Amino acid sequence: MEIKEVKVELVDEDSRFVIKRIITDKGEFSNRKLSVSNGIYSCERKRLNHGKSVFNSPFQTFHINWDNKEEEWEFKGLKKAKEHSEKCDRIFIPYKQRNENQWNNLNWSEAKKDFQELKSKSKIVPYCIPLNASLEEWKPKRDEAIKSLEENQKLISIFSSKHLNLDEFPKLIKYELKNSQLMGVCSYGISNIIEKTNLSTLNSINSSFKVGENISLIVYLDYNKILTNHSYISGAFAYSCFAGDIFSEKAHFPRGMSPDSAEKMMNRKVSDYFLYDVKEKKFTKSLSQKEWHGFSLTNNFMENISVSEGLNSYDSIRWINHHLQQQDLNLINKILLSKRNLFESMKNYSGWNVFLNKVNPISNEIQRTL
Amino acid sequence: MAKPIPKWVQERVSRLWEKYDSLELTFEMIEKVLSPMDDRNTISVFLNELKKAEWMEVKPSKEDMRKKIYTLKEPNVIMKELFIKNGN
Repeated sequence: MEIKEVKVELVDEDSRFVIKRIITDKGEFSNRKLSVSNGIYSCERKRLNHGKSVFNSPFQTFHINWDNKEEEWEFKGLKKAKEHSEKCDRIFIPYKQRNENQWNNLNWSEAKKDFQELKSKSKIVPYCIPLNASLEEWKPKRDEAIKSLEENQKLISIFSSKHLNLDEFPKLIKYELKNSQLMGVCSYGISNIIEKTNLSTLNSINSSFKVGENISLIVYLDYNKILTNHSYISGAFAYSCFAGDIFSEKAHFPRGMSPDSAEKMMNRKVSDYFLYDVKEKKFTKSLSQKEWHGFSLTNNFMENISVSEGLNSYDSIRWINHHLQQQDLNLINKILLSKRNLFESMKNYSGWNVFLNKVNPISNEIQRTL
Repeated sequence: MAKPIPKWVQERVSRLWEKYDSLELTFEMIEKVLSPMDDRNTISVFLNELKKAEWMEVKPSKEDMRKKIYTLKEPNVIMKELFIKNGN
């Protein structure tokens, strides 16, 4: 699938949420989509073996692991994932999943090397932007990179939400939003003031576009699926409050885990899994569900899973969590299109209300940065 | 005058009314009822919502001025106030 155009469809003046129309060669759809990330792709492969359907998303992302032992990026599985995305008519985005230290050490020379390496592997080619970059530095590098691409290839710039050059970040973002179809943001759980300032700026600039104007899609990458420091709400929801359009959660690579963590993961029981609760709009575990509702939603769900789904208990929960989160992102679009007050509607759910209360996405800080 | 509150806040108030006869509650008493579902962040937002909507008063404890006492209004008082507010 190929994106032809992305246009602003609606800007909600109160909440600053934006609906974007994505026009592709295979049809049109709107923003706020969970991508098929590494974990969901793995579920899909198992489901396909049992003749089951795939996840309904036009986007697939492939997070590439840094192998600590070999000290190199591990591309294993990339080709197959790309083929799978083509079969499913998806837009495929590969992404080198850097840890914070790797982001801190990223310079232009490494960013360019990475871009050139991925150019031969995908139609959408990421270019990571070092933390101190300015627009003046980026523009000529961007032009040169785009010139080097084939006609059917597109560049996606990837920023860190902890971009340190705070004066330049708004200029970079504005430029990309105006001149690209895709831009990425690597994010860290809205945990510090730099991140909050940058994301608030991004949100403000995104919502300053007018209906009908061309705009880029904002792909949030590498965020935690569950924000434990924000009352266990969904990371995708949190970033949708900061202009997120496409969401690709952090990938966990068993090979990179310590033996202890790997063993812990292998020995997890159903009661240790988090299930997305659509009523509360946050993730909960079986024990708290039992105490609160009088029964376990997780056990209830597990009892209805058929073996023919081809997924183990962990994957079954992961699969349903993905569906339920997407359902809630669709709900946001529905509320916006029906012209109801979005924040008032959101306040009826504990998870959403607490997040809006604690992390006000349209705080005064944003006004100042504008 | 009490104002309407979000659904999730209503549900939690009902649980407190159901659990305790007294309307005067400490944070620990509230936490005991809500903690299976809510962390401290959520409970603090819950209390703010109640205060904002005038369903509850907060004052320092007589025994220990560092602690707060949360006094919920009687259900019938709230209903009456909401009824008047709606112009009925």
